[in-house]
Amino acid sequence: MVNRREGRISMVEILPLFLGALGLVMVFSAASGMSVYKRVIPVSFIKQLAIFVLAVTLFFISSRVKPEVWKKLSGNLIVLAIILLIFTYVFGARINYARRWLYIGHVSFQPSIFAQLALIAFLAKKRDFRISVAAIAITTGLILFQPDISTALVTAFLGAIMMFLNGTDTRKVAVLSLVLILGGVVYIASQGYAVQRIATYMNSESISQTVKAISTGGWKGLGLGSGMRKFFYIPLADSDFIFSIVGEELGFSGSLIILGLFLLYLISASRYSIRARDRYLVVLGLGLISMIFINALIHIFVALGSIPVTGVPLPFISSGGTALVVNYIAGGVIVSIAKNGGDIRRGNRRTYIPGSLRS
Amino acid sequence: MGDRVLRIKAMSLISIFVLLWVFAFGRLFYLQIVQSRDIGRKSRTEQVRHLETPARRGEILDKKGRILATDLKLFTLYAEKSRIVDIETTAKTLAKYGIGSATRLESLLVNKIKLIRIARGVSDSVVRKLNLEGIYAVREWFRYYPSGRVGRTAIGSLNWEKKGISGIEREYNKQLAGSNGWAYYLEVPRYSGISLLKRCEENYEDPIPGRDIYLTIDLDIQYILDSELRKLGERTKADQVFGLCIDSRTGEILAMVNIPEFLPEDGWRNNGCVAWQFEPGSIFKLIPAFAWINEGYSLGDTVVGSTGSISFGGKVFKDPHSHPAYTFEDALVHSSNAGFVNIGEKIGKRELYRCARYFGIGCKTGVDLPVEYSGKLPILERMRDIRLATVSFGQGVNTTPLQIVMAYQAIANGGVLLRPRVMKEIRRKGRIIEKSRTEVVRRIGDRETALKLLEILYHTVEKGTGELASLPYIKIAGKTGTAWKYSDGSYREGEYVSSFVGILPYPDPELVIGIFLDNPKGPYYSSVTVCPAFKEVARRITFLKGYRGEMLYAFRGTP
Repeated sequence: MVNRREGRISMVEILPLFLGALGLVMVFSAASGMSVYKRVIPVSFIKQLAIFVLAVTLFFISSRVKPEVWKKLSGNLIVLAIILLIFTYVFGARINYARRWLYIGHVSFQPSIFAQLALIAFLAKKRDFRISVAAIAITTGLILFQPDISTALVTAFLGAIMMFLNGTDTRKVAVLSLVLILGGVVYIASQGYAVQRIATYMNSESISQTVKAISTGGWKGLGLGSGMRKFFYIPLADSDFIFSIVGEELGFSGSLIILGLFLLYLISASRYSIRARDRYLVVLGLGLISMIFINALIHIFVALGSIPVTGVPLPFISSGGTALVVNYIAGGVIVSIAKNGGDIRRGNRRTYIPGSLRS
Repeated sequence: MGDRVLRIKAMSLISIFVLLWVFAFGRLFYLQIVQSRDIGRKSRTEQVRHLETPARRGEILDKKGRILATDLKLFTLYAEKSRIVDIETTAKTLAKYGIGSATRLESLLVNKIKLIRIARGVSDSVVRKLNLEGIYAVREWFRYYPSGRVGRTAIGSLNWEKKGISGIEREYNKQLAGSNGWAYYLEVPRYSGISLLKRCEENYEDPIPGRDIYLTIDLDIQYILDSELRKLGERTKADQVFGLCIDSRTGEILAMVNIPEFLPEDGWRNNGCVAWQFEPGSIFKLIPAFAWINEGYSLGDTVVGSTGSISFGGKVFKDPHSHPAYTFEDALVHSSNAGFVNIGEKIGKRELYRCARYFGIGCKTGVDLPVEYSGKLPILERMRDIRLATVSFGQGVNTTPLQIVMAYQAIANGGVLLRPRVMKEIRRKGRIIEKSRTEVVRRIGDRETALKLLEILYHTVEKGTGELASLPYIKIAGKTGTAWKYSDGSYREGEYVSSFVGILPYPDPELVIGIFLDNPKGPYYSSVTVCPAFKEVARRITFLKGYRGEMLYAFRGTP
């Protein structure tokens, strides 16, 4: 039975690759803007190409690994993540008043994103309430003090989702979320720059550049590569604002394709996850797809001007090494859950049937 | 049981995600489809600028191709304060290249203004050497008039948006201006607050340079007339002096002088040669004289007795100097007002009026220059006897200098009045695309009549009032005029307009030269003020034109 499934391609396998390919094109377009202007080669694209190859390799490896491995490794992973976060806090490179990056030679690495993955893997296993809260508190706290408020918030919410899924008393989770939100508000209020940024968002009457870029797109967009906003107007167009460039150059049709692919990915991945034979795999799969989808939503909402500006890359599409690698690993795990985690007890009808959306 | 709860939780989680997705979809639709037209258009104009590329204005040249006005490609320098590293050294370097003094530049750069213009008209070679942070050079076309003040009133000038506002520049603005090109520029914002414009290379249109105008003006003659009239103006302290030189066979204006010459910084003034209206005085006697001959009266008829006075219309007109009895010819040669009152009476107002109209008095000459005035001829029906008498010797009628000169041109040209013109040809890239032609306005009378009159005008210079204008080696015909100046409703005490129009060479005229002197101080009689100046002009022009054959003939003729 296992042999018959091999060699078939499923939706959860093809979507990350398709989005990644689309991402490469968009990153090339976004990065070429400034490099053409400055007459240099688009370095970020070449970097992205190399990382893409690495990430896809890891994607295939993790999709071939039995998903149960993560259950065994989860304890070690969270410890590793916490150690890396402490390392970042001590040795990290200081860029714009924040230490978020760890440099090993010329290779940079963002432990906070890895910590999200580790936390999900850790909390997917049903654990004691206090241990769970401690794990969330430590990782979130360390990220918060980098400081990186948005990533910390996402991490905390992912933790809360995991606890919610894992059958911890819902009321406890609600209280915890409330505490998290209040703590977050107090912390943001204590940080001048964040308050300022939110105040700017609330008060500004002018339309932000990203909204202008997206509106300029219209139905069909200006055409691939002919967007204007990537020149100076939108900083970090190839990572934090790639969706704005998509909106401008590919228009409503292109943006809708990306939006639709993410929805398709959410639905197919959560479907396969729910059907996994092991409770751990169900929660793990749902946690991973939540991570990918929440990041995607935040990125898109920033681009659409619905929430204040924060630097979250669009999974599979934006340039940015750690996020791409981590998301592809997560995608690989989802594939492996879909392939190997079929619930035998429920019979073949409900198991994974490759190559079809119907189950 | 546990599984079911997990399933419900999972479904609710996914539902929340889908709801958020729907919100994102709605927002995307709102921005890209509903709002696209508003925001999109606004932001498109914000980042892409459609700018004109100014065309090179055509040159103005004289008839031999010497440049009177040209466009130079020069640079305007701007300084962006926030980019300048060291104000002092920047100012010193600029001063070294001759762009203002260092102290002035420094005070400019210390100024609060973000972007400031520091110099205009900087040449290409200097800009190429300059390499200073924060100093920008913008290429512009600058209008340059190599001949300076000479002929400037006729050539005209431009306003700040490079549109001709006077003279040739205004008359032929359309041909000179060419058409501007355009290009799209990408606005590149920078942190300093001043955006850079980067030209988009795909879509643009090159400007079409303006056409060159070749004038009938001969710069040599213009220079001669200009320098002599300048001297005359200084000597007589006249308010203004006008000079015209016209080719009598073609109507081409060879020189057109206004003293003082008009420059834009002097303020607004019209070209007096076509826009100054004055009562011509004796110089107008040409017209009643022509009517006299045309009507068939004899040249030998006595028109005024030795008393020198004529009574007409209840008023007595008396010549200022005593003289013997004058025939018609003598009356013109010695410019007797009393004689011409008699002539006017004989020919009648209808004939005088008709003749003046034929000569183009009271009508625009149709010269291709802006702001031409028509002068004023009294209406025939309302012309009373006294007015007929004064018009006969040139008072009570308004003319412009060009009208008078053209009237003499008609005589010099055998009775055919031509349209004066300034434009000779229009060229595009050296190829002639338009050429002006000699245009006949009308024949005013017989050729014989004109020749007879011309002969009397020759006698005027030979032995009459214009004696001081005569030259030994060339025959000149001409007429003097000294008029009372009429302005603001009354004749001004002690203010005169002295004028002289000469035709040369007699008997085959080529040039008509007119000099008009407004309110000379001191001696005001044309015969002693204007005639010597005319002589000087004629001498220089004949040398220039090479009438040396005439000169030798003249010497051979004399013992």
